Amino acid sequence: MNEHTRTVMRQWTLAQPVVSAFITSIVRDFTDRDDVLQDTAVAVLESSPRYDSARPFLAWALGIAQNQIRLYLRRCSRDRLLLDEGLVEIVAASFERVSSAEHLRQLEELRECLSGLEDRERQLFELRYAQDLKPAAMGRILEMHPNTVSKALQRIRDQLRECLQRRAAMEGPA
Amino acid sequence: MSSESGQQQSDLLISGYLDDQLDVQQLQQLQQLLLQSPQLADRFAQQHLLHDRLRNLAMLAFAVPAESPSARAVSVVPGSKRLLFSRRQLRRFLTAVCVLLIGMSAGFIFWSGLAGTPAAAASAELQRLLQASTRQVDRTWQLAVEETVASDLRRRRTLSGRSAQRPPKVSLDGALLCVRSGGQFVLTRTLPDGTQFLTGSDGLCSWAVRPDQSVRVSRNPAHFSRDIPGHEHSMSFVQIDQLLAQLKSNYHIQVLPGVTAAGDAEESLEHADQLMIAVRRRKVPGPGRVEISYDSLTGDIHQLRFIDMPYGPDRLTLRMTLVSEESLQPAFFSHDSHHPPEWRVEQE
Repeated sequence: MNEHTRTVMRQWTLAQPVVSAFITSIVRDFTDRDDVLQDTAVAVLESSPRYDSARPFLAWALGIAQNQIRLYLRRCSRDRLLLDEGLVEIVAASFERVSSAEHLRQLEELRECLSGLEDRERQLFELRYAQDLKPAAMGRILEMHPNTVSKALQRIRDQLRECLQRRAAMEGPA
Repeated sequence: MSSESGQQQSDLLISGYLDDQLDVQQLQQLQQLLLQSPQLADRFAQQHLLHDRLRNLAMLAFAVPAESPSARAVSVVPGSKRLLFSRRQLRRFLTAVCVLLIGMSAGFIFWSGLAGTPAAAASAELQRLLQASTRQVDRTWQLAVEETVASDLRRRRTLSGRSAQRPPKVSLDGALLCVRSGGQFVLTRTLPDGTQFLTGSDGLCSWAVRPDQSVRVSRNPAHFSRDIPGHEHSMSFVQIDQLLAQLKSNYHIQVLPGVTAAGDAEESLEHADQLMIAVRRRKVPGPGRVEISYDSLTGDIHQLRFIDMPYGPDRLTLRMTLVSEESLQPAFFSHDSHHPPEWRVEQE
């Protein structure tokens, strides 16, 4: 493995969580995300000789991810993105902007923040994120209205985000 | 509309988007807002970073199928009653998964002409492990039983006092399994009183060296392999290449997307751990789930976990960790190497 490939691999390691979140934001389904992410990893490695190390790696990887999303949706006979093509590029640019090392470091505290969830909230977390159920299906299990489930999920995410901010504030700048 | 209520409204739309709750009109509204406001687009991205990370943490926490009787208790959420992971297990699991993508990347280098579908990628990766496992070396594995669940049959027999029909198998916990090509093995199990019970095969005949100082030998090289885990389903733990071949045909193979964390990723770049998970297909025998940790570059396996694995009347969660690849003596797999010459040898 040459030095250039090693550099690409190292950069990919750092970029991968952001690329993963970007893919989720477009394809939305977690199973689709897994598939597109793997395709993207392959494409990144295959394209690594063409990577110009003077360019930001994340932008390059997000560009590859965009292509893979299109290819994937075409393969699945779903030729329409939920978001407009132009908007996808705007979203990709946003991911670049918000993915500071500090923000990503904040997310590492998420596990600790999850410990603050009440039992009912943990149950919602499990159903939504482990079992990948949507509010309608969750509502059937929990005997709750889907809207109530949606609001509860939003509250959980808000609570976790606030927890991350609090912890970051306590730790101070890195 | 005030800016605060405007933000609340847009956050509501983003949250609805995360949970797939928006109708067409709301989706169009969100798109318009994202086009108009870079700040909102940034919040959209930040919320997806959180959303995506939550999924990865949940997948780690609930990786073992809930219906598995031996679902390992591992919790991502400290203090959780339902997500019962120990911190040490979690750290190990996270470490393995954290560097997964590095490993995937390294692995992909070996897959020129890869079709690109995840199933093909996982299958190709398994094939790479299979090739690596055929390397002609002696391997010594340490076995650890993480959990034993008695089957209903065992429980019924115990309740009805019929449990003594056949003596229980000696525990595999702490056992050493030495293997060499050609189906040669020595399994050393230690009894509670500290004595050892050895079974083995030199590829031509199999044997058992018992704590009562008797030695039994069979011309059938597989005769004494019944205590090797996996024997019940012809899943050879002695010949890992055969085991992997079985996984390939009977299991869904998955390389989990990684949760990359800061830390030792960079220093372990060259030889990162990688984790492959195999989940049994319906109506085929064998452990419910197999986890394989291996070196991403060489494909050498250094740990296997078998979850919900039949063993006699029980179901185990068994961990096999590679402890040595040092060459063993040529006669190591013969029974003569494991007992004094004066012990009585009986032919089966």
